[in-house]
Amino acid sequence: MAIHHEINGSQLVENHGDYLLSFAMTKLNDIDLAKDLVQDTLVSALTKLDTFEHRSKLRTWLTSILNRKIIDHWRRAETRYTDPASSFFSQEGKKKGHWLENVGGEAPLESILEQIVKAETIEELHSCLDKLPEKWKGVISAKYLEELESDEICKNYQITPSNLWVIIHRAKLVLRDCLKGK
Amino acid sequence: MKMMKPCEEITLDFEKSKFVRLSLKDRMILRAHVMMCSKCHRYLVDSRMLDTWLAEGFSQQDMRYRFSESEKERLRDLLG
Repeated sequence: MAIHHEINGSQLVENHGDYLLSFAMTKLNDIDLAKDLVQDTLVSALTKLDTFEHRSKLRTWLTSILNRKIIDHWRRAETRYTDPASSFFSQEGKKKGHWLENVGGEAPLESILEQIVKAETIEELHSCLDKLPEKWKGVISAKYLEELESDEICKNYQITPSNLWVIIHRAKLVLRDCLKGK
Repeated sequence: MKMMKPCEEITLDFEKSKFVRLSLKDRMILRAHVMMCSKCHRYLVDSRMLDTWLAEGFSQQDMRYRFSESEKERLRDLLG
């Protein structure tokens, strides 16, 4: 289709690079790995533009390619180690960029205070999410960000429904303790 | 009929109940336990709060991470 010729590498990087990187980091704890997978995604996308059928948005299509690469990474990683909790405490919590600038506008002061408290809580939640084992973080992201059905999450992560419930249960206990500063 | 379960099983059953319908027996045990156990009751409240925060937190995830300008330049070169 003619429209494919209008899409080039620079546009993909400019319009979707940061989004894809942020998406990858909802599932991974390793920023360098995330950058590599986004790069692979953009290279794949450029070589497969002919297969993009415009039934979905370009960003959705790119995200699905990236998601596939993250799942492939997981499957490879699963063959390298068997204990998903082994890296549990190895990741330092990292403070990331601030987005409080979005707070404010015409809102009354009381609601601004509420928004700030909420913003800080959610920022804290992201720091706590970074402390989860990657597999748990990926499962949580699949459920809450992608809103995938449990069947699909189980298929992607090659786990049973019981594993899924246990991961969500344990992840919530860890997040709760982390938010309470334990 | 075993009516007592440890708190860990009760809270796990609560998470499970968000995906599948528990048996009548398990629903009764869960409800009775939570009425008597303040720690499990606290977990249920916290769990619901986490559901909300996680959904909202991820919706605000856009652009939390960025490539540096030099990395973008390298990517643009690579992609031609």
